[in-house]
Amino acid sequence: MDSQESTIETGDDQEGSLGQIKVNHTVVSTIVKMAAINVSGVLAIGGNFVENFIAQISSKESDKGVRVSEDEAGNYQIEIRVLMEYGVELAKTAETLQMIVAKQVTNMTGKPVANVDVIIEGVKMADDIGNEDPENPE
Amino acid sequence: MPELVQQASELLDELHPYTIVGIFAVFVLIIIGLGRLVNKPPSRLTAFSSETGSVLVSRKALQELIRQACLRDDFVEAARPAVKINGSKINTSVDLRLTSPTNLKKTSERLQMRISELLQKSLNFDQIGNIEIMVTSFGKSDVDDIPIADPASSTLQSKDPPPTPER
Repeated sequence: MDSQESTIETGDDQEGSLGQIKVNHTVVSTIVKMAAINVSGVLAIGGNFVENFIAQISSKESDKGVRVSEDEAGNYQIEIRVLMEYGVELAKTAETLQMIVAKQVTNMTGKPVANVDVIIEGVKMADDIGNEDPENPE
Repeated sequence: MPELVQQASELLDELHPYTIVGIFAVFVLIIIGLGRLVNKPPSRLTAFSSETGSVLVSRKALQELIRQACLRDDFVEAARPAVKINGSKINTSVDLRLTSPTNLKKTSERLQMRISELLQKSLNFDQIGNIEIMVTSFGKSDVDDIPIADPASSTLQSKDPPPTPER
């Protein structure tokens, strides 16, 4: 996971500002996760077993299932892997997820989101995951 | 360079023919393995792409979705789906264990319809290929009651996806 720090644009008038505000990608990924888990139909956030294992040993727990990068213009590019509930309209839920994540990240960081790619890694019954760690579906 | 060739030739002369065959076999296996790795089908399918980003579905998610849809049927005891992605087309095959041999055809057709509807409704997939239903066994309690049937009749294949029922 790219952990380069990113800078929030504060507008054209830089002279009056007190200094740069930097937001680490880990923080952005935490925002993404918090926004995503509240979307109806999303049961958990997480990648496959290998990625979760790497996240576990690299002590970057907050990055698990979310990848944040920036395009040439400096806008966020977000990739999120989710586990969805059986019975929901997956495409519709994924679209809602894209919008909510983009809105939340823009609101909290002040930086635009270029795209949010959603990868549906699994589908489960809500009861199956009830007793599991919501951030560790594997 | 000629020295190198000579050394290699000498080395080959020293090797037992079986060893050479073994090395050759390992080499061929590595080539086959690499070939399969390169031609490995994509494990994700793009449901849709828009300005806000794309939505991809993993093969595992598709299989789980189909499995859950099958298990919701009263006559299905177990289901093992397999999804093959040919370009943008999805071909599905499901191995089923039914609770009883009765209603075999109806259950299979109902499941074909349900899977097709599910893929169209949930994921906006239009390119739905064959949905092959293979009944492999029945519940243990009914094993003795299974009539001897034509093996071909236990496989139902949908060449064209069944129409989505009106809701």
